[in-house]
Amino acid sequence: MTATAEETLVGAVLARLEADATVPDDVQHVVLGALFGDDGLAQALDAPADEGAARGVKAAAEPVGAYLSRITARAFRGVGERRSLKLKPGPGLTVVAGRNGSGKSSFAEAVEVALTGANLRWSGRAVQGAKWQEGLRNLHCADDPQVEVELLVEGEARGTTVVQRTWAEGAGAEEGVAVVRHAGQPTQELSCLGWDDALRTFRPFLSYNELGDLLTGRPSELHDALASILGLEVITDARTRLADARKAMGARARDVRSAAVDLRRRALGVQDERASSAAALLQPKSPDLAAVRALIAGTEQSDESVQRRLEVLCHLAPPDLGKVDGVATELRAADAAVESLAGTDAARSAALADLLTTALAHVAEHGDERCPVCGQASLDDAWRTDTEAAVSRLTGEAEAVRKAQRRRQIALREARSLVVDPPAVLRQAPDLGLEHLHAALAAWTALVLAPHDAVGLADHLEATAVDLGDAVGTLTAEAADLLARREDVWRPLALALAAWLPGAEDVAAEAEHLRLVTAAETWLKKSEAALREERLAPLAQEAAQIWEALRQESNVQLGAVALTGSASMRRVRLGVEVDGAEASSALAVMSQGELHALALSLFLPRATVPGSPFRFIVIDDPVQAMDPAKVDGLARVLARVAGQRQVVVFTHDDRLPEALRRLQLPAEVLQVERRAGSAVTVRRVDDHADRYLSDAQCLMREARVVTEVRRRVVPGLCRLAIDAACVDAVRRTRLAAGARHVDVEALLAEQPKLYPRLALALFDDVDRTGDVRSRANGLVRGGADAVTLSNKGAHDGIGDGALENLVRASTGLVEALRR
Amino acid sequence: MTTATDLLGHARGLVSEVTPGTNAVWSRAAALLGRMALEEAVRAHVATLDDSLTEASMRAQLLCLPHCVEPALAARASVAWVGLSRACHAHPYELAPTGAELRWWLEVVDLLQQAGRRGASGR
Repeated sequence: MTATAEETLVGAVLARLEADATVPDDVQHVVLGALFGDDGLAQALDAPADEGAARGVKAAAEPVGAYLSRITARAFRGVGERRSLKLKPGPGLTVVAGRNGSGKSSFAEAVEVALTGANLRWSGRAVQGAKWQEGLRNLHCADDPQVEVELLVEGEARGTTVVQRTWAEGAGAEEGVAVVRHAGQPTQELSCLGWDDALRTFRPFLSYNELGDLLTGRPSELHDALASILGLEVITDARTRLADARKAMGARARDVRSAAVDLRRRALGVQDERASSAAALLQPKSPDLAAVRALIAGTEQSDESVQRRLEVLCHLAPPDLGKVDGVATELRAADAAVESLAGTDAARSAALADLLTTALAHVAEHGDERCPVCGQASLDDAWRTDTEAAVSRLTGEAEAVRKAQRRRQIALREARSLVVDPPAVLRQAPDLGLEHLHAALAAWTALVLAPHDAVGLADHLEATAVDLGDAVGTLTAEAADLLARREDVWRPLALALAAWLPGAEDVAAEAEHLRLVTAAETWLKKSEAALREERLAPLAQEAAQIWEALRQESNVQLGAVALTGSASMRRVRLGVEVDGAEASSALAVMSQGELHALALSLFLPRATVPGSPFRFIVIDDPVQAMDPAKVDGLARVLARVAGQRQVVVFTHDDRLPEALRRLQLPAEVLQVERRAGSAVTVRRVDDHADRYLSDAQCLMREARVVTEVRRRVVPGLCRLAIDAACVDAVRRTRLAAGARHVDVEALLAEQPKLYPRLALALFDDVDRTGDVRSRANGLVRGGADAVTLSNKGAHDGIGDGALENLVRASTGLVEALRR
Repeated sequence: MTTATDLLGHARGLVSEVTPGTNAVWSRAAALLGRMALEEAVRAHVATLDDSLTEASMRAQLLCLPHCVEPALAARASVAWVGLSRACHAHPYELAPTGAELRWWLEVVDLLQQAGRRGASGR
């Protein structure tokens, strides 16, 4: 899959999505994301739809293309010594002709093997593969086998790129090592060309075997080959990706649901109010996950809950016994101190002391005088001394009484603080089934019923504290025990819920993803067929056009081409009509030659799509099973394709070159021949007559050739040249006049001798052999002699002196026959 | 006068060795020489039956050949003659004969010549 095909396909999907008003934006976003791989899908699901993110897809551009400029082989298959096939790098048709075993196919295979490291002939079938493996090394050459492809890459100023693959001693057929060299640069690995995917997708090689297999092989293979070109695998992949995501999320949701059912059943079997809550929360459709989490964390519980009350009871604390003792003792001591000062009046003593102090101050200011109160006593120094002592005594008495009273007050307050109401929980827990609850409450209530006087209070405290301590201690122990027993029951269930919860929360979070993925998958499934048709249409149309050119006299008509089915049922459906009537299967009604032509019709558009970096196509022996009329069609089709692509065709006979010559289609013909010791020669061939004449001239010029050989061979070559010119002329005239191929070939086969052929070529009348000599003389000086001598000399040889004239006259005759 | 043996030698040389100047010519040239050698060998054989037979068509001479040599060899000679003749004519859509084909035909010519020599020495 190339970036280009992918991009155009994404563009097509995008156009279709935008045209479809029923697809919400978020679903569109997910469909597009899925086209860009697993990461793309994950990103589309995680990130919100970003307007225009996928819309930045570039328009398809034709990639830089490569042409073949030379194919070289050494010690490889049929080629011994290193030999090259030079090709014109650029659009155009080259036909490489050679008999079977001439080494021509070795060159065809060399291109494929050099670039891919394998050949379908050996990778596809086990048995043939083993033979190919053996045949890799040429027996006549000791060097390591090596193939080399020289490529001219468009727009590359650096010169050619060479891909070279060499098999070291003992290396298997598929263990050849390939390197790439650009002019003046260090060698690189083959992968640097970036063709790995393109070679699979656009595969610019096609051999005779493949032609047959293309249609008669596994139906899924042709389907995949076409789907790959169309970039449809991107859609299939995206669909698979969405389906996988949907299934994975669905499976997780199912697991969580069934686990919830199990947990609920288990919770219902547990005697615990928290288990009951859990069971209520685990509704199969929509479990309240937040509530479950709070439940197992314990944060949800109110103060009235059993758990909470038990916890409070556990930590219940009665007044401290040691403190009670201290408080009671102090209370009694303070009370006794107050009692010991009974009879003294602290207020009176304080007021008297104030009065006397005032009097002393008055006397000190105004001097001795009579008592202003009684008016008799004299307030003298003696009075002053007595009075000062009295003030001191009275002040001390008042202070002692106040101190004792404050001490008793503090002691009383302290004691009363110990008398607290029973904690509310003691009254609120009758339902907990605690045996010692009542005793504790009673003991605490007894404490509260305290007398008001100090000594009574002290006695009461001492009397009730011990009982209360015992009762509360018993109760807290009982509560703690109950708590522990409850924990044993609840804890396993809580742990199970805690383990289940994260998965359940993930599933809940995924619910939106699941909805989007499902919607995206549904849309893609619905649109796949339409996208497929839309993409296939131009290719199918071109295939139909090529078939139209190739079919010639065939009564089979190619209709719609469609990719159908999926998975193991996927195949290419070819609509075929025979004499206007629909046929159920193309394969059943077509001849081998027709099948090959049909396969070519499908192959050529595939190998020439604009997205392919290969500007060349190598076809090995497409003509083998074709009748002459189809070969004419093939010649035209190949010439048309050669307008844009470099087409290299290998063929084992002269039918295709002949058709090209006759139809005057531009093509270069190379001839491969193989002599003893795998000495392969490659020659440029213009036309047969020219070739024979140039051979004859070569023998005339070459002094080392034995005269006897020359005398015997040259006339034969001249006759071959005249004969070939006759055959070409007969075909040209008759076919141009509308004759059928079969009839022309039958006529030529019936008349193998030179004179009737000349009569046909010169007069289009086989019976006018008598007029041949005079017409030949009219066309060229010595023409009649050339006919006679070449014909006779081909059997017996002629005198050395006449040879020069014979070659000259024969050349003139051949030229005349061409006009 | 060159003998059939010489012709055969030239033809074989073209097939098995790369003779300078023959690079472009070898297969058709070898076929032409080979056919001449074959026809001369056949003529030599049928002449032992009747001298006038050498004037008959090659097809007729080949029909007489089983009376001169092993019938199996005569049959192979017919096949080789057809093959060599095809190679000496322009036939629709056929490329030049391969080295292997030529070697096989020339081998038949050789056997025919050897049979002739044995026949001559035996008489």
